[in-house]
Amino acid sequence: MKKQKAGAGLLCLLAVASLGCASSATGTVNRRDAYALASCTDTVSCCIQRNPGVPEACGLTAGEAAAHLATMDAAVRFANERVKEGEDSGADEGWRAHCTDQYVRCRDQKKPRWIGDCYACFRYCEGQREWPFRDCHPR
Amino acid sequence: MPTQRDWDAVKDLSRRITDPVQPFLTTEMRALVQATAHDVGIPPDETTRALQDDESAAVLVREIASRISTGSRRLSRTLVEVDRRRDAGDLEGARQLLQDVLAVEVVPHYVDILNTYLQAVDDDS
Repeated sequence: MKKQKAGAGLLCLLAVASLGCASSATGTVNRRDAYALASCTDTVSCCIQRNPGVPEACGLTAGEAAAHLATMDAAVRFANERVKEGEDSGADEGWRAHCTDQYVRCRDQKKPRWIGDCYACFRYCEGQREWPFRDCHPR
Repeated sequence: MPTQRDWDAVKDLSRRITDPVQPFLTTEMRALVQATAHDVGIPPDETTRALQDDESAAVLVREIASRISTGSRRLSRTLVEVDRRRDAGDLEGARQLLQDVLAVEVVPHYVDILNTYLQAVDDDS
């Protein structure tokens, strides 16, 4: 999974000049990426995920970006395992999943399209257990 | 036009109301309450009446906060189920669910979102 992502990133980098890279050019995020984006917690990891295939946007080489992504994937797996083990209360687990679901809807290209800073809204939702529909909603 | 920040402020205000009710409305808060009451579909004359004393003002503020939060959570749950039905090809089911919620939703912003989804489901057909 990690190698595929790095490989895809490099291909994307090569393709971007001539064909345009779908995910970075249009902001399309597939479902897996959207879940990963919801878990980024520092500027480097957020930068990498928001600029797929363009590591130099974050001042990194492709190899460095891949290493960061591997760390983040591991963090997401760890967080999910913690949830399964029941370390978080049931209510928190339910809300995190729910907020992630809304985040994916916010980022998805499926109609209706949404406006707003989806990641900021996700973080709000995590804290408030409520999606901020004034800030992020279908246009 | 009230923002999420205003909605957050009125929810915070609601949480700070004491029991028994102590005076809690500043001029600034009064303006916030008037704006957000309008935002969640409460008629202006009802708002004016409620703001005449602390007890009724407290009831009003709690109602505003409740409409915001209840509506948001109901909308979130609804959209999850609507999309599930759309993905399963059950457009009539998705449409019905949206209409059921539209029948009870009072916050205009949430009504707009529900109508937007209804339009998207119609476009799916």
